[in-house]
Amino acid sequence: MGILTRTIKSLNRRKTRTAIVIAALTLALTLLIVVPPSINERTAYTQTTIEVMGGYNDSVADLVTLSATEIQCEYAFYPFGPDPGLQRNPINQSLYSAIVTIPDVNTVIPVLDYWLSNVSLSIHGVPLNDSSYSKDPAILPSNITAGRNLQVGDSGVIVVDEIVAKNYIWGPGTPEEQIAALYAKDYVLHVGDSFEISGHKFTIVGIEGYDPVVSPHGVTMSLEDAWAVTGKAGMASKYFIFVDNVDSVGSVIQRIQNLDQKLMLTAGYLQLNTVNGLLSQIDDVTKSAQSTLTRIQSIGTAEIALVVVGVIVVILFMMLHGVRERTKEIGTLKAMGAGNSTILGQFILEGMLLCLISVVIALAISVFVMVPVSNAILPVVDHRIPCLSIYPNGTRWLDVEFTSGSSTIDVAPASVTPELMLFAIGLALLLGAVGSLYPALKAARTKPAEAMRYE
Amino acid sequence: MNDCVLKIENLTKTYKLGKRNVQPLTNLDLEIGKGEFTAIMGPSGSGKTTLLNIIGCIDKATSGTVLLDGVDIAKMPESKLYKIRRDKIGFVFQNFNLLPYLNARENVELAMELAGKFKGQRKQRALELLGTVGLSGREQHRPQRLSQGEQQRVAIARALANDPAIILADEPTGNLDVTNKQEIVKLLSDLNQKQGTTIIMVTHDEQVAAQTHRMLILKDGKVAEHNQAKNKLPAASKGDFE
Repeated sequence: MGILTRTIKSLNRRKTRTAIVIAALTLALTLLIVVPPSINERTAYTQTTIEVMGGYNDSVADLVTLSATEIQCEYAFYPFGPDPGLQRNPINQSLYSAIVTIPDVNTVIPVLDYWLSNVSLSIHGVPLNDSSYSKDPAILPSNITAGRNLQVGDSGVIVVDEIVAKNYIWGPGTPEEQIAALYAKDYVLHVGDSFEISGHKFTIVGIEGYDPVVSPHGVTMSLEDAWAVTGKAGMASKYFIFVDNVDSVGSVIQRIQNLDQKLMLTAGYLQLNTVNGLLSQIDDVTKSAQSTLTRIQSIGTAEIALVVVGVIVVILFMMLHGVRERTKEIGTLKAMGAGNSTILGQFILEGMLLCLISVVIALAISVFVMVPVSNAILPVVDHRIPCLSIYPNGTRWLDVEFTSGSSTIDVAPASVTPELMLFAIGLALLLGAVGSLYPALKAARTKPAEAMRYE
Repeated sequence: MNDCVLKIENLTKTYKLGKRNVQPLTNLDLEIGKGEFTAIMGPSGSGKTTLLNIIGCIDKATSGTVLLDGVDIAKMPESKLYKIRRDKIGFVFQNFNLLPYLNARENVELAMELAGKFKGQRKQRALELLGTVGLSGREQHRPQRLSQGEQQRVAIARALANDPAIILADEPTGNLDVTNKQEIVKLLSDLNQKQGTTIIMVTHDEQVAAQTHRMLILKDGKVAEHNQAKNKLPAASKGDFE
């Protein structure tokens, strides 16, 4: 019979009181077990919301950067005009010179889109003299699925889109060949292949994948190469104009329009108010999530503190009562030669044992009551997050909005994990030791003569 | 004295009771020989229990010397006194003071557990002692299932567990009926006669005291008189007292 057996027998002797104390401790420790993982779960939800909203904010900001300062300039679609390949009137060089001198115009990128009917190819020529073409996927392909994109200084190389890479038939082809090509799954053109267009040899350096927003480019090459294969040297079908700041876009549009009233000018800055409203919505969701997070953490911390104090107080009073009630027993033990450390150890062990029994029961209960209890004692958070859709209408510019649907945040639910079990047991033992320390010291310091006289 | 197990010189005990100073023991001198069975008597408040408590190291003397087995316990700090209580003294109380949640054997073993003895050794010794006090077959009974006489026997077995130099019995028959009283006194007497155990017993009962070798009467904090009891000493011993 060691000290542990003696302690168990001592607790067993006062069954009713021990049961009441264990019930109270179990209740408190259940809360203590439920709160930390529930806080973690809710923190993960709200932090994910905050992160996603931050991402949305960045996406919208990128979109604004991309589109709000951009003006596209071209003449109206005119398929049966003098040049069916161009399908609209070309923009002449003098207009280019006039536009680049307009104040606040940063960059003007002339692009040639041309339908080469003799080889059934859409040619897309882009000036490859600076990196500004990467500002807009409409200028250069943005979704390269094989090989690489065109680079500054490239010549004699092309990027072909997926449709061309799968369906292109060398020569006119039989009707059967054309149908087979339409349903082809494999590429017939590959990166590294040579490809001849109107007597000019090119090497394929990349394949452009499907892009839901930007129309396929056909064959993309440098503007100079496009001029060579189309024979339309110095011509452009469209200008991409970038302005220094959003506030100047309106005045730049006006000045360009004054140069030629027939020019069609499109810009995304007019949608800025809508986008600003969206940014404000994103900000509201972020602030709400941050506020919820703060509330969860402060409420959770307060609850943990309250439970910790509660457990210590329960143990303290139980043990103090026990020490008073067992004064004569303490005197007897001391008369028999028990040292202060033996008495101290016995009472601390008793407090720890009570907490250990309680925490084991509390852990078993927590497995089943984790969700309802956490919902009862902590703010409930939304597990869903609104979805942001960019280009929902299939158009470019600042086409962005929250969709009516939402996605569920994938966070591991609060549960009783082995780590939590170890933590809870360790904490319970610590609380038991702390709560019983003062009564145990009181018992240990009891003078045997006084204890023996106690009735 | 060669076989002196306890020697007390000029022992004084003073304590405060409210605003009043109480002096239950005043310059008391006493010697107890090894193997002696001594009864201490006296009216209430004469200092019997206080003297027993000081000898038993559960109370401190205000002044004087208390040599127990050659060691002065009067000036010893509590950090050392518990070892003296554990190794040299066995207590028998009027109310038995058994731990109610332990059975008879466990109560006896407890004293040995505190002395750090091994489990097997403890159990064997406890069974032997319970046999010695006539409780064979009652080892597994808890105190509430034992008669008062049996409880006191368990207490005596517990007091003997660590082979103490001295047994201190504070009115061991005070709560017992006549039959049990006789049996307990006989048991203590037998232990003294057969095993040479030194016993100091506080009692109010002259018939009980008469079974001892020596009867001391305390009055006003001093040994007022002594009477030679009926029994003879098992070995040569003598007490020096006032």
